[in-house]
Amino acid sequence: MRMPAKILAFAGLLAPPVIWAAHWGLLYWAVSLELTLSRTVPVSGALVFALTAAALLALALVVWRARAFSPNGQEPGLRTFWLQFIHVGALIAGAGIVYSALPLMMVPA
Amino acid sequence: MSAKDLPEPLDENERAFEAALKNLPDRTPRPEGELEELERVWAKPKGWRTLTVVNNDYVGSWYVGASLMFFVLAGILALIMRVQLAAPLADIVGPETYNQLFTMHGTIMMFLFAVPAVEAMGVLLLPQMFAARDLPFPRLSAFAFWAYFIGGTAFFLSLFWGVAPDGGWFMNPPYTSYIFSPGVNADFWLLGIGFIEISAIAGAIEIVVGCLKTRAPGMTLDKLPIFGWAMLVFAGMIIVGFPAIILGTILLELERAFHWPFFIAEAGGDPLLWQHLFWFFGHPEVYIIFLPAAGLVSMMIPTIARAKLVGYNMVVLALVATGFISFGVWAHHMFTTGIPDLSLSFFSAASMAVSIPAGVQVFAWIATLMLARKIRFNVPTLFVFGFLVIFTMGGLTGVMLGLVPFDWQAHDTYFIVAHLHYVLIGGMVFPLFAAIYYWTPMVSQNALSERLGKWAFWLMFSGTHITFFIMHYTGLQGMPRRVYTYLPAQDVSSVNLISTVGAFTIAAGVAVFVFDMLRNFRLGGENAGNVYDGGTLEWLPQGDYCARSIPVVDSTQPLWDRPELASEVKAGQWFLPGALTGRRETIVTSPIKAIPQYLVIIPGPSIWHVLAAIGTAGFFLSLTVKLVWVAAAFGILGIGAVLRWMSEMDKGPDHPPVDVGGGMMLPVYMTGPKSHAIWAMWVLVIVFGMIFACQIFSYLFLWSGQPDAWPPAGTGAAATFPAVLSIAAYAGSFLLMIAAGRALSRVPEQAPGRFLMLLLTAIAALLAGFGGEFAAYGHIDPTASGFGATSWTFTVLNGLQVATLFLWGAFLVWRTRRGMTDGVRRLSFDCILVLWGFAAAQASISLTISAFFPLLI
Repeated sequence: MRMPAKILAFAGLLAPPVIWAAHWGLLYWAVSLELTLSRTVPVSGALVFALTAAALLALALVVWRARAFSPNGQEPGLRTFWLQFIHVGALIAGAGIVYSALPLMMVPA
Repeated sequence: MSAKDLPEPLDENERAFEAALKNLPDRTPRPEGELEELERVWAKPKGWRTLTVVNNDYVGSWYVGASLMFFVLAGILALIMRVQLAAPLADIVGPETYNQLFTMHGTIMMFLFAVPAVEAMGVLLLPQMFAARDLPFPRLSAFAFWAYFIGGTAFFLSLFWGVAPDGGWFMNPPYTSYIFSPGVNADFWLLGIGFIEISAIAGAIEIVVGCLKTRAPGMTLDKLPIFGWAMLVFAGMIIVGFPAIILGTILLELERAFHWPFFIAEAGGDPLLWQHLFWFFGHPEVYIIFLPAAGLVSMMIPTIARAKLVGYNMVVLALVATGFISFGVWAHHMFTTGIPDLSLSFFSAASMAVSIPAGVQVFAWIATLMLARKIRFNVPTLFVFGFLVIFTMGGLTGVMLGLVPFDWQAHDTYFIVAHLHYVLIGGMVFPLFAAIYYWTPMVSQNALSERLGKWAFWLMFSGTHITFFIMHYTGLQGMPRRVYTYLPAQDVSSVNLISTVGAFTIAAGVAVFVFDMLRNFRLGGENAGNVYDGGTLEWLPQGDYCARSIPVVDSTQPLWDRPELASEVKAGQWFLPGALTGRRETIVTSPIKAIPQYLVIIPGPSIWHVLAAIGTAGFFLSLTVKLVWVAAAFGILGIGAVLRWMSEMDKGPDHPPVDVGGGMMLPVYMTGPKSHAIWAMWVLVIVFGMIFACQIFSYLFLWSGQPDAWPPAGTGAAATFPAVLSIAAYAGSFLLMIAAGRALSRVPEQAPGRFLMLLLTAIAALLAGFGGEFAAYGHIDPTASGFGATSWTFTVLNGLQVATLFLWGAFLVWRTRRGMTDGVRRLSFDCILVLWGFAAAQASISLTISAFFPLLI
């Protein structure tokens, strides 16, 4: 079943910050769970690395498919807006994802 | 150009729109009497019936006026505090009164001034910026205003009876729980916040749907005024952030009223749960009020510079990014609570990141100003420049406080007071004042005075620095916040006196502004017009009906790019030049490309939303002072008024499709995903979903504090068999509703008996599911432990949904029996179906967690 074009367009537009937020939330929950169950920190480095790599991969996919998300009608400005928003948004989200992951890798137990 | 870049074929609406554009503007003379009919339809009632007005210019102006009233009142409280602190060991007010003063000052400024003020600007400006006749739910806006105004006033008056809240604007338990705050003071805080929660959510629904569905044709999202983007992000943040405080207030009131120990550590609760919930809302709250203010600035700076905004796309991205990042920084308010070092690093990093999008906006504004050939230093310009200076200074001290070691030193000192006032006065008050001066000519017969405005600016600008700059030093000297006096030996007497002088300087500036408003602001009649030569649609010639006709937009500054547009619009040469159905109406457009979809009939003046607001306010007020029967009476009044209000909705396609201009035919009724009502319902469901998500967080948070005692010894988890039966009943009720929907499609060709039978069975199954929850939780005492309390809270939330659906279901039965709902006029049913599905899912998930999670761990 094909997703309606409008929903697909909004999904693409908001994908970079949503991926950043999901990565942030998952790390937060992973740390909390680790703290609760084992009372130790930091959370497993491999898990942090895996989540971060998955988030960056997802961003790369969104950038790769950016044209498919962008409205393609008679208004070239709208398409440019969409593509810029996705590309720059992905760049910022990528920086944010690495930035959020660093404390988990660097702060000693 | 690749094949992917070729334009897609046009759909039916787009083709009709393209065809209509060839015929517009239509320069043939308009029919006689068309304008008079439009004026009649949109005329505002006179006399006492003025209270029933729903036109956005009136409601928006009242809303702004009420928020300014609360700003002045909270400012007076600040002056009393500054008088008390002007000298050491002063005896103007005692410690109890002082506690009430700083609590009320913070609460009123944040909840009754800042949030409503920016929401009010949205109600006031957005329809005009979109050239829509009004927002899609004008009675909802009016209801939000009245609930806020009545509730806020009652909340403020609690000061005069000495029962005002005194636990600080963030009301941290256990201090604010029943043990240490047994009076009704804290309840009044919960009451006041309850009103602002209701009006904020109502406003957010209105703004989301308004921004996405009622823009001028052709106003694609890349041409949406920046203020529209800011309000869209603002509304999104309210939808995500406010549910945390809604749940928090529910939990605190449950603890205070029924002794359910959510925040009492010795009973398995945790006071930090409140702080997480409060600050998950509380920090985004700062951006909730800053982003619309930034949006206003982004609208004014192009006019000041006579140049289009530099980096429009990046400014929009910055707004959205700020919205997201702001939800990842809440724990920087908790650096001194003993949270793990890892959390400190995590949240410190996110706190630093939020300065990046803020910086993008500041540089975009500076770059736009640099394009100006000549800047006119009128009052809006001065306030915008003041904003840039003060907000940047506040932002820099914010970066300092994001550093954990510095925060440990400065926490709860006057350094924080200085920082937050620089951010909030700079980031919100100055842009708001600039906006009031800038947009007053849009609604008032007179512009405000340039001379008085400059006096107001310089007094407020200098007063802000005199008061708060020195306060950084006061804080670094170690003077704590929220203490009613200090000793002469602390060596902070002179700096406190300077701050007091500064506070009165600000007050003098505000007094000049108030005088200017009283002298020049006149609502109604012909407005002063486009005195600053703005280029966006709100500067089109206006009447009670907004713009005479709705133009097609092809740039971000249409009045600059097409100087003839204003006269064409005024002559009725664009879309919807009259009242085509003889009622209030506006064009609903598609969310991305703004292609006209249908004509929506907008409700007019009414007493019912006013009565609903009175009922709501009276209900909560009476409950606060324990007048249960009076509360019940107000509750009945409120619910009855809402039902009466709803009975006027969903009238169906009672008018044939109309030619809205250029030969474009639009229907006057819409069901399904295009309907603005369905959009509103989904927004509401997201709010409920976030409340539920916060409740799951609360459950797991309390578990994480005592994973070895979940459930505590002697208590069991929710009983699995009744829980499974209850889930089955909830799921069954939803399936019955789907079947009822199919049966409704065959009405009126067939009698509605089958539909009614299925609907009533669905209601019965819903009640059975809820009853099953009592069997599942029956053996758990909610007052005995945090586990019990948080388990039962699931049922409380489910109960609220069940009560809503029960009432709505009964209402639907009534409508159907009176022939008001059938297979065509089915919007009421489609909306309830969305909520029903959510309620069944929420109940099923909550029962699964309660019954099975304790078994898993």
